[in-house]
Amino acid sequence: MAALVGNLLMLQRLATAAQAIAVLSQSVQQGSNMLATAHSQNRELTPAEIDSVFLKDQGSLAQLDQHLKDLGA
Amino acid sequence: MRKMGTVFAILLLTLSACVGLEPARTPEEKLVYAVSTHDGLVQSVDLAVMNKALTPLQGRQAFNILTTAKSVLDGARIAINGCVDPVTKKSVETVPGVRQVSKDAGGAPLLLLQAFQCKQSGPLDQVVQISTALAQIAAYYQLKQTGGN
Repeated sequence: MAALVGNLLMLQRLATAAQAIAVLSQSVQQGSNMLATAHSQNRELTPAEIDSVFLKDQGSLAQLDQHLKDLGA
Repeated sequence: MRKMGTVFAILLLTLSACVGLEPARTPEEKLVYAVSTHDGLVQSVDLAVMNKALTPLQGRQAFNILTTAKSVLDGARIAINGCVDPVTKKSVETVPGVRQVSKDAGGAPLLLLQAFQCKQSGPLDQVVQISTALAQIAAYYQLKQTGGN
């Protein structure tokens, strides 16, 4: 029984790790797509495009902060 | 288990190399990658906290490190683009050391990862030192913009 619970916990951790990797790669891929668009149009990134990346990051940080506050940390 | 982790990491690296990302040519483009990576890390920590893989306290510690890294990235943007002094209206170049940091802005998340993985004080100390210097520069120009001394 203990072994089963241990295995389930391990599976849960692996699933979380896989999700984290997926989120990380998706985020980097979005940056890559933005660069690819700019390169295909033979131009540099606009300040607005760079702003959007910074704002998205700021939003994620604010969301994490809120979740932690909700959990009492 | 440690061996499995190593094999997994190697597989991940191989997969990343195969996927092929658009190469970053300018410092701004490198910064976009750095911020995107930072964003991914923040979301990963959020996910881990919500799935209870991290305790709220551990999540808060990770949040503090990520906030420090964010200030490095904010400072790097100022360092890359420079800025116009609102008082003298002259274009301001940042100090050479900071410009170098900005060129290496893509290394900030790497330092973070090293800090997480190794739990050594070295990389984290570097992040804090760089961050402090950049935050002071950012605060200086913000103060000038708001009309302070």
